[in-house]
Amino acid sequence: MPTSASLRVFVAALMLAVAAAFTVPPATAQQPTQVNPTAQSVKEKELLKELQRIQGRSTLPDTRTAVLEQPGRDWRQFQQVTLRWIGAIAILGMLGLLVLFYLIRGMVKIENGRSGRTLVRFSAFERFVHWMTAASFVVLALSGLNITFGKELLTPLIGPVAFAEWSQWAKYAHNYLSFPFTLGVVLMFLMWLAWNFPSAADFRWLAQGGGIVGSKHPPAKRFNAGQKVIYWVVVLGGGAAAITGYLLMFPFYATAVGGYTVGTTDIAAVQLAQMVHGIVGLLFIAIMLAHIYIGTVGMQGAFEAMGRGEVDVNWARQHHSLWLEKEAQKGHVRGSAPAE
Amino acid sequence: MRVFLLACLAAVLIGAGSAYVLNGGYFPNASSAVFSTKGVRI
Repeated sequence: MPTSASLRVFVAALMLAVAAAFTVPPATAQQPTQVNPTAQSVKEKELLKELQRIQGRSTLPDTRTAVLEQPGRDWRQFQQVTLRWIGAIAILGMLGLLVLFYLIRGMVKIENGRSGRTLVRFSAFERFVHWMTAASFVVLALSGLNITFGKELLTPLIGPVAFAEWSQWAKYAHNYLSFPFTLGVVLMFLMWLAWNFPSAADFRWLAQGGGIVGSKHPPAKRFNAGQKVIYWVVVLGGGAAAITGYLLMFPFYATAVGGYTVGTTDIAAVQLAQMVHGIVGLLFIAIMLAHIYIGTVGMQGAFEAMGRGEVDVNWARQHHSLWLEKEAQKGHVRGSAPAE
Repeated sequence: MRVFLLACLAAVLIGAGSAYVLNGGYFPNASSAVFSTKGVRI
């Protein structure tokens, strides 16, 4: 039995020694030479990635005030990097293509020269709507480009104070000229819809390069396939820009109506609206550059259609022969044929 | 040219009219109500 008692004492002593060895830190740990207090802390990025948002409770009527941090890093990356690349590629790419095309093809001339006879292409009201929309669009485009590129491009040139002043007025113009622009898009949609449904002639027109590429001049009605594309770009693109733009102008109305949200928060809906608005706007500008090109330096006689409202018969025969036939049958051609 | 100038005038007038309405307190909390904070509610 003494042996058993001694064994128990020995085991107890051993356990105490082992416990002491693990509880007493080594001398080096008690006096650290290098301390990094944030080594094990959770980074903000990791926290947001895990939680997506940091939200508390608020007694204010607006429940959104309870949100302290919310998702927005992806949007910021899009706004500062992706959107700029999209815009730069689309706009500079289009400008480059147009310059190249002009150097190769030059202005599309009226092959048989002017006949001296004209016919009405667009009424005064149609031109009024077109130019109201166009004038608004130019201001919207420039002020919109300022939002995406202005800070980087203009601040080094004019300084931060002048840039801030200009940007403030550009923002006013962008907001308020959206109304005549939207009105113009709606009016254009209504007054030109009947002529802008696709037809078999459009596919033949496209197959022959529309008379722009190549030397053929395929028959076309009042609007050819290219013009129909522009029409639908304006209607759909303008419509999308208007809807998303008004979501941005009235963020606390539209995104909260009927509990409507996109994603998880109202702010996410606003971010999505801004992203769509930015992409549509920049692509819209690029496509309109092509429209402006073909309506001015790209084609002889084209600007007169929207300028004076009348076009030469030979221009109409070259580019819109089917439309000319109908107009001639109605007796809408003015002037007399030149002496043979 | 006359039509173009009329169109520009219409754009300015409609734009100014919308600015007047949006800053008249009819749409408080609209981000476009930039000239005045009159009527803005939290």
